[in-house]
Amino acid sequence: MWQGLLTFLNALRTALIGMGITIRNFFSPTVTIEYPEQQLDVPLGFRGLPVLLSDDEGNLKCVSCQLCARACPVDCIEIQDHRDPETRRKVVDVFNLDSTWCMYCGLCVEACPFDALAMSDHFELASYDMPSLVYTKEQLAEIGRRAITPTVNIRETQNFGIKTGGGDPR
Amino acid sequence: MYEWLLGTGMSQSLANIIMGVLKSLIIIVFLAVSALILVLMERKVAGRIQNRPGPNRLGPGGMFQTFADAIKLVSKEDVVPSGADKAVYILAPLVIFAASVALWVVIPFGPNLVVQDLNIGLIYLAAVTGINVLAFLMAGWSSNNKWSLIGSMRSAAQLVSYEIPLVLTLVAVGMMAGSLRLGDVVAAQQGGIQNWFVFPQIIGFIVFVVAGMAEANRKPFDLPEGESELVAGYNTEYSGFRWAVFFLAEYANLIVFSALATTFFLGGPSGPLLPPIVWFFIKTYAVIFVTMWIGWTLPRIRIDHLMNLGWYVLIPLALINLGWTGLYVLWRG
Repeated sequence: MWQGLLTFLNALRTALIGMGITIRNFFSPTVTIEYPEQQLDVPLGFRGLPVLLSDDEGNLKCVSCQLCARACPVDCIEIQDHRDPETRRKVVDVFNLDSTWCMYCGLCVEACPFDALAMSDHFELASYDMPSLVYTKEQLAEIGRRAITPTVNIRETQNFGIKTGGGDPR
Repeated sequence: MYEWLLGTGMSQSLANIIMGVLKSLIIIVFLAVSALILVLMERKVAGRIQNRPGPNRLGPGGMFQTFADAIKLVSKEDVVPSGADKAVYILAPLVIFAASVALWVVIPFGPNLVVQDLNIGLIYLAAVTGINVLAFLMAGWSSNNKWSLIGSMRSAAQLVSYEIPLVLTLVAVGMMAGSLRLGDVVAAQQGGIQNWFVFPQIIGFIVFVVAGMAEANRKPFDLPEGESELVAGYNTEYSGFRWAVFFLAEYANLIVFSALATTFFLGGPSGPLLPPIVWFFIKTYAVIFVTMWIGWTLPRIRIDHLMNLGWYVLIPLALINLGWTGLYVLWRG
């Protein structure tokens, strides 16, 4: 019985110590980031939706070489083009990226020789209808034109070998 | 009210019945509202202790979260398992709810604010608290599910280890007050904080809190519903409204236990300035907060450790307290 009482007293003491710790946490501020209202910055090298980058005049850098479509392991990029009769250059008509298929591997960005593609920090892609998950050329260019911040130049930063947009992000 | 009913030319027995129904309705509404508040409070306290904000989406500070939960529960399908003993299965939530409500008959919210101040209030409390376990056993047995059965067997095993020290502390309280009537227990503690029973009865208070938390199945002693080992214990098979009744009864038990601790040791509804009923709720909610605080600090105790605690520690402590109370009452004259 005395053994039991001593154990009980010790248990009371340790319980009080524990309660001291919990009450300190009770009055300390919460660590919760309340997601839709507050957001953490995405880390460097984050692979969100692949987007099209534009040059300084606002024209797409893409020359429709199809390398990204070929690099894509899940064939989620569809490109259609025509040749401009005067400049003899290819003009992109359709650049559809099916985000339901895309697995955000970044291989298209690796493959692009013109730095026309980049992984963006755009990740809130939920939608109520499937067709709106296929991003068109205009949408991708629009997201790409918004200053998509932590896309970095691989030439300047050690970035786990992930190329996330060359030069200035646009 | 009673006089007014008699004044309308009503017979005495009919007036008694109407008053009884009204009082029990008030108690039931009070319990339902308390449970709504306590569920939110429990989640808020748990959240704050774990550095989370707790529910905060619905209404200011998540105030209406419990209402949403209650509406969801009520609108859910009422499933009776095919292997269940249907009559007992349906009866069990009613029994536990009736037992929780019945406890409130003797608890004084304030001077004259008591449903029926029985002259054997302490014995009545000791008797009615045991009915809970009957309901747990009914639920566990009739569910035809091993988790339910193990949970309810545990609650029965737990009963024998905490009920005896609990009743022994009640005996000491009765000796201090010189009466088994709860009104007299409160009256004996009038006139300031120095008259509260918690000071001469500090051992009894500790034993009462520990045993009472086991009684109310609060966290360190929530063996009958240990989620990690028994899914949900005795109410595993219950869903929807019946489950909500169990949940309600659980919180009703918590608030009963806190109200009893308030009445027996913390002076009941007595206090300066504020009206007595406000003091009653301030003290009751303070005790509830402390039990939640303990519950979210300590891990669940093992069943054999609970047995050891009950038989080797709490009962000797309660007996020591009883002897000390006898000496104290003699010395006080």
